[in-house]
Amino acid sequence: MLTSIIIALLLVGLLFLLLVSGLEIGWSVGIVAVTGLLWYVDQPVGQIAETCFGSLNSFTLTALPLFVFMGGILGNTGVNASLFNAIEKWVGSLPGGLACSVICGNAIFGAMCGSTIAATATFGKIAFPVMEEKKYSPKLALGSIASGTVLAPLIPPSILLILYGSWQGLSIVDLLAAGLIPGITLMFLFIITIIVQVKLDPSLAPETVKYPLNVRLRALLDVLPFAGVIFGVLGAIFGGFMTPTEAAGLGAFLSILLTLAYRKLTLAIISQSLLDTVKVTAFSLFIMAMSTLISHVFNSAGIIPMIQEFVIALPIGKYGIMILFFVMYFFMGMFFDSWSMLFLTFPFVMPVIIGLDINPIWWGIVYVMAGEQSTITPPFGLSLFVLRGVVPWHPMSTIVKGSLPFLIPIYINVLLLFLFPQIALWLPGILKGG
Amino acid sequence: MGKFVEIIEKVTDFLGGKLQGWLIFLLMVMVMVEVLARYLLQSPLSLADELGGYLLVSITFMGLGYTWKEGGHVRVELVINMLPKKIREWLRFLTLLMATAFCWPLILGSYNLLQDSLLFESRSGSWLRTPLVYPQSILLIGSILLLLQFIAEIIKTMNSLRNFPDKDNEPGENAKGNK
Repeated sequence: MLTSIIIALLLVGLLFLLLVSGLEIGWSVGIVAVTGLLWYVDQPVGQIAETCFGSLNSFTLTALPLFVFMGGILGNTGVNASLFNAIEKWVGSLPGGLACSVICGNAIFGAMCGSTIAATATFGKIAFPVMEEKKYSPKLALGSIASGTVLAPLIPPSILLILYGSWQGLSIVDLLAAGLIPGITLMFLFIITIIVQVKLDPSLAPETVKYPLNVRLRALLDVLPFAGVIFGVLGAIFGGFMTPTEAAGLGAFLSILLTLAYRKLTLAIISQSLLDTVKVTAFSLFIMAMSTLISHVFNSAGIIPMIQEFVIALPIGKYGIMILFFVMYFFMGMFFDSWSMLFLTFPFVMPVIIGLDINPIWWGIVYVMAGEQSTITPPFGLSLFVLRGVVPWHPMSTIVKGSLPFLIPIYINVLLLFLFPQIALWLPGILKGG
Repeated sequence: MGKFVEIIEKVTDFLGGKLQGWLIFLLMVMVMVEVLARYLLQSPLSLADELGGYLLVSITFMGLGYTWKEGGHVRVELVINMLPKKIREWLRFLTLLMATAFCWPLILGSYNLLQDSLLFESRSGSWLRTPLVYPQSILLIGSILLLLQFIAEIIKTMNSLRNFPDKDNEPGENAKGNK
């Protein structure tokens, strides 16, 4: 017992040291896992390859490269510009109209491909120049662009939820369905946040214009092709016609058709998107494979059951433990992105969640928000950095100051999920019943 | 040495980057054909399920070296960025050596797995009954490709470390003198 504790602490200490020294996350996890495998649980080295092959040889997971590729095509061709223009005709009359349009645009973009990074970069390029020209305060403009990306991993299809579900062996369809209502709720909460900010400080945004009905109706036509892609992908998944992976293939195919129709697609863009997808797939799935190995090692060594017992016995109750996790992700989120945190922590967190009899589908949705708050929390927020790259003439502090108010709606959304778990669980239940 | 690095990087770009990229495209086509066959011909091919998994193994493992070369593997840079430049570069070199050393269990592990699969003639559970040796050999090839890329990275880093003090202390004369 005592030796297991010491060994667990040594291994976790080594992991921490490697991560801090700047070694790539996948290798840090891998070195610790192999050290434990060979030195402590004394299993053959072939286990590494077996775990890698076993965790990567998954058809469900192939949805990942397909959705990332789809996001790359849509993002790199910039067809979202016409989507953004069309949304602005409808939402633009709200206070802070363009910022609200960015939020809605992100929600719709998220409904197409569920990729965060692609969304930040494209909306930074498309929406920000327009907002700057119309004298929006850079704080509000950049804050809404950075924060809007939190929506994509909630609104189906979500790559983060697909990673979580296929790794933990949960129903992807249930998970994706569970994210829909919380995603739409968060979208409205974001818009309310913008309206409140503009009402409190009218200098943040100019007076908005209301477009005549015929202009709005014409804008609706522009949205149609995008709506087609969304209904194709989501309809195929929720209608039970296709598996999520097949729907991802369909989505990628439809995006190619869509961007061809807009005459924006070139061979260079396809090739660039494919290479970007290789990078995202290799980096994330290698971490996943190594985390599966560490989970195997720590389970064999009896360390995970020990941690599970220890955490569950904490005298703070089920909700206390979940809040503890949430706070842990807040601090970890200063250094890691939501994907890496998922892989790093879930070998330890998941047994506790299951031990506490918490619905893993519901927990997945809570995790999306726990993890995605990291994209807008300094010093390392993925959205913040991507956006900084797009608008290098604005200091990081402006982007950070603009983004922080959007943490409030995220927390309200989490609170709503705790109070009314049905927000997430109602839709999967309906789909099962029907 | 420069020529050697150049050749390795070309191999990495092609086998680890371009080829894997087009495998993603192939994956998309394969999945669509599978769906069409199911609905139009009423007969599922049941190929995409199995081959898709193998393609994913390939994209991930063959892509490791390419992704490293392109700086695509995520790491925590926040802490080391606070260190002085010289220490940071040496630490980076050290972590590179550690990452290279990790190729040993990867290569040895994949080799052992292949031996086992050959010995027991392991096959997939589907109707294809694919001998698992074929898809599993991707792990070994990918790991070797990764090792080659690491060797190239080490050569590159050693060159820049060697040149570094010259630029830092007395640019110009000293640099020439050392040559």
